[in-house]
Amino acid sequence: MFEIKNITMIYDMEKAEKVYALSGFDLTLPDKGLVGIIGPSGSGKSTLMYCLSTLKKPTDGSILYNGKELTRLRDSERENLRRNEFGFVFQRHFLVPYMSAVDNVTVAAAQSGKAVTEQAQKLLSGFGLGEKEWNKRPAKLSGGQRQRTAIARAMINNPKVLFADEPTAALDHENAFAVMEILKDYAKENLVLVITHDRSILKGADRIIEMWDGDLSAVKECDAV
Amino acid sequence: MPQKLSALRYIRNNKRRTAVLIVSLCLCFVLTMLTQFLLSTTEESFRSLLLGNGKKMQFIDLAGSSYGLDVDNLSYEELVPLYQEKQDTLIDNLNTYEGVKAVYDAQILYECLNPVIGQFYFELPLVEKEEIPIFLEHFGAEIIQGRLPEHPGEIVLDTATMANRGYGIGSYADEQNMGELFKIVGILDCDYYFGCGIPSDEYTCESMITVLSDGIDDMTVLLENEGITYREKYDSIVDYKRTTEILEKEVTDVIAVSTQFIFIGIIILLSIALFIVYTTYLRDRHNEWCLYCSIGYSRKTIYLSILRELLFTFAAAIFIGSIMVAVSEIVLYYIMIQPNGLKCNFLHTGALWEIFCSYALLCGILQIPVRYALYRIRTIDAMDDDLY
Repeated sequence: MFEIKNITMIYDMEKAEKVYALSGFDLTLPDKGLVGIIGPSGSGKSTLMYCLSTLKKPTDGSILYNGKELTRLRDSERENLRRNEFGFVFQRHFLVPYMSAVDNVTVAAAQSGKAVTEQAQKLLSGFGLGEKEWNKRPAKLSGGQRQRTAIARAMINNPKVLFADEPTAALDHENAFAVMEILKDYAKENLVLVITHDRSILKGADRIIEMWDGDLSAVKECDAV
Repeated sequence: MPQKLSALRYIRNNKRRTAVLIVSLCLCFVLTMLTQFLLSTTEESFRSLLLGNGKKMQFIDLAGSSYGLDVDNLSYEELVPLYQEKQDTLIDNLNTYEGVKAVYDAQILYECLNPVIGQFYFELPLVEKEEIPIFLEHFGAEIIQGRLPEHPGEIVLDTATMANRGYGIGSYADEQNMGELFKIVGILDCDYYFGCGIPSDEYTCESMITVLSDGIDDMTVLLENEGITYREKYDSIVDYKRTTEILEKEVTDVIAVSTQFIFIGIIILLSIALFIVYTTYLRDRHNEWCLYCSIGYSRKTIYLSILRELLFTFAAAIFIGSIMVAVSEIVLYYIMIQPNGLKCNFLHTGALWEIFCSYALLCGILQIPVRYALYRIRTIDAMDDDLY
């Protein structure tokens, strides 16, 4: 699905001492499966995810997504991709505070109508949010429920790629594993990229990519976990 | 159907915030329209009085020199009969003109009209008992209470003037200045501010040539035909042309200036308040828009949703404001304007246009914080860059 060649990302280009967030490596990602990206802070894992999801443009190199060169897309094409084919779970849930859980999910839908609302309710139910919670605002939901609502939002368009940046960072262990179960389940048919510091939650991942100082230090297939 | 960012979603979930904006705009609308409405009672009452009466009845008071009399070399005793002779001739001649129904040498009693702002004294002719029905017929007036004047010092007045002055049958007209000289003996149903009566035996009022006519706007034309040149400094004429000038200079223009000052004041205050409040609201939604941008909504889509919210707010304010204005105007009319014998104008198209234009301007001003908020939108990766 993704073919990454010599990807380089340099921050502070104008400064004498450049910061290499990604220092030119190659990587191929499959069409489906749970791929974990692990590494210490500043290793470039979030930057890699942002480049793959078109939120950032790499300084150099190429990213092919289903044969399409992402670095050459126009803004509107990148928006379309993010809207229709990618889903996002951010480190902070970024739920809209004044919207109900259902509205927070449907706001990301590419289509509108009753079917979308029903789909959102189905997703929330599947993630353990009962009918009582559907109309609650984020402030009235627990941390786990918020993150599961954010995952439902990311899945509402049934995206081909789901990017999850530290999706369990703010959760206790029990909730963290519950969230990972949802992502693993989704990864059976789609590609799920999970960035984390916590190796334990990647149990059952299909592939683990370790990063260090903007480079790949190891790529391990699922058997390794 | 492709999903759009619904404006109603924000409005539905932020009723209090939206209500603050709607109420501010609505109050501005109501305040402006009601100010205009209340001031219109002054303008419309004066308009009815000055233009309506000016069309139906004219008054002429000429100096002796305007008749061609050598006032400097004539004694008072010599002048009076000569003046009277000239005036009688003029009255006879004016009677022959088309459109002139009748001309009298009448004493004039002044009565005052008090709208919300200002006051205006208008002429009530005092004539012979037999001549009163001619005046009533000319003005389309009918006696609805009391009786017609029969004795010296008795007068009748229309319902509006009666209400405005707080008179009843048996009251004395302008009692404060004239004392108990002119007693009101009847009330007229009349479309004009009008009244007439019989001169008092005890006091002689100033006399003027009183012309009952239809369609003669400028009495100076008739006087020119009679060889008399009107001189503003020495002569006095009350006709449609001059009452129109009075209305424009002393009423309409003055009210227009006051209204403009009030309106501009309201709009400036509203603009400042809305700008501050709206900027705060926009700032609170920064993260929301960053999220939208990150998940694939374009800035244009976000901008259009903000614009729809803003337009909904303005439209709701105008709709609610219109209802409030309509109800307030009706209530004010029945509790304040009609009981005081005043006229008013319910629909102020000029003010409406001014409000629409100023709201459009306000909408334009609010684009400044909106554009700035859009400029500040970043995708979540950029927000993370700021955090770390």
